[in-house]
Amino acid sequence: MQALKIAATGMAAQQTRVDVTSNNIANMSTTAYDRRRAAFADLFYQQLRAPGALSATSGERVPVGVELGLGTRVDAVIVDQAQGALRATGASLDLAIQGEGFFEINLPDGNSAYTRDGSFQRSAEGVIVTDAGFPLAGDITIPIEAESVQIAADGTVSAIFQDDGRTEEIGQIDLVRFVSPAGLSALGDTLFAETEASGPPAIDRPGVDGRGTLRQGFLEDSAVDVVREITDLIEAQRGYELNARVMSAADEMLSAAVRVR
Amino acid sequence: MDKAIGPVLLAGQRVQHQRVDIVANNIANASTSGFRAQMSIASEHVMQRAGPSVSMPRLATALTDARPGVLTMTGVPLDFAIEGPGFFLIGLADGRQALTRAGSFIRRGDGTLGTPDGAALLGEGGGPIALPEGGGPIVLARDGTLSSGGAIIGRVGVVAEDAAGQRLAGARFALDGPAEPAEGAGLRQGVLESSNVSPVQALAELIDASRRYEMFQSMVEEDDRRIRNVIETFSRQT
Repeated sequence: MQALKIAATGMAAQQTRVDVTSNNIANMSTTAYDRRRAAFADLFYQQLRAPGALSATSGERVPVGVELGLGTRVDAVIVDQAQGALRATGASLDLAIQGEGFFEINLPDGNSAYTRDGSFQRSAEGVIVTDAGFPLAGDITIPIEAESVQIAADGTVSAIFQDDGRTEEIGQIDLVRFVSPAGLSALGDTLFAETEASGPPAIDRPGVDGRGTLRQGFLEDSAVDVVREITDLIEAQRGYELNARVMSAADEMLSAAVRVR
Repeated sequence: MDKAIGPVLLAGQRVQHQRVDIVANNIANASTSGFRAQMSIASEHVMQRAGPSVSMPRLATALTDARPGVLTMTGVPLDFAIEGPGFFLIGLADGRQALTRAGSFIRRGDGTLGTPDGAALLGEGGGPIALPEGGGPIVLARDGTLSSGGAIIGRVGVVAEDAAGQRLAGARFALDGPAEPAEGAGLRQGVLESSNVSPVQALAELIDASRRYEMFQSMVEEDDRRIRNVIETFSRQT
């Protein structure tokens, strides 16, 4: 009797779905958050009678066998890379990517991380850093005497000086593209790291080869659709109950078998 | 009374056990995209002997329910669904080919289309489909033609249902026979096929199987009491 174990795999799968959905809902206000989705697959099949085997009674080949499935498993938690809505903030170092691509961030350990969260700040030294203080690749330093910063759609960063009104180009923000963004590994803080599955990063100016363009003064909203998440949550909850029902039915049958003297 | 009653009741209980196992697997996979439910069919096994023959039930087959699952909009560009009969052809890591209706694909590290667990989606020619580096969004036409920025990059093949063999893990079927193109199938982009398990039907099957099991159980207990009575009666007389 496998039903108990099979129902347990089903309950575990629905539990994972609730976990993934609740993480999505918790991040409905996280800048540039992409929703995750749990994908399931069935487990292996036990061949009680393989299709095409010879029948013991008639000697003929059985056209359809008896294959007993052993439950379900979580196949993948897929990051749905989607464009969130752009929200105007007016801050000069808020950048949104319209289209594909990631900002490259230098981590303190020397590695690079990638993010679509374009909420940048100016550090005490004038370097453009993330909210967490990691510098944006390219080490763009804004001069102290600069009055404002202008970032063009193609990533050119210019400083405007108050005294004489002149504009000076101080750096270039490039965007990174991956062959398979779904293969990136999430580090938290909306940062991602490159993996074997994602392929190596390809760096170029915004707008080149399918990279998106930059929008200064905008941030990308979370791509979580709350109505869809709630629907998913209800489905997962009912799925859980259904599997629990199988478990209690299997339990009743086993206890009936135990009653026999 | 007959000596065959024990084995007949046991065979009956065994069938109900297996039915519950199959329905448990269906319910566990009610959220597995592209999953096709199994339906258990019991048949009569006739035991010939002196006197009247004895019939015993046994699980003959677990048929695959070929009805398509509900199509759900996801809006993800690499989620494909088949409208009508047919399967996607995928190449497994060990070189074998398999069929599936689970249409959630991703770009793999080498730039080709594949399933989340690493199998390749095969095009009409039987080879993997490489997505171009850069370029515009991927567009899937109803006939399976994949294009990016107006340039055709390949064609997703849909294989006829006759070629489906043994069930494999991952909502797949082994390729059994030649992969003929399916008639009357159309492809949809941004849509996923849900599991075709009907929770209501599965629950009804579960209740039916477990109640029948209990019925057999009470018959076993009744038979047990009958034999005890016989033994007690005879032992009093001697």
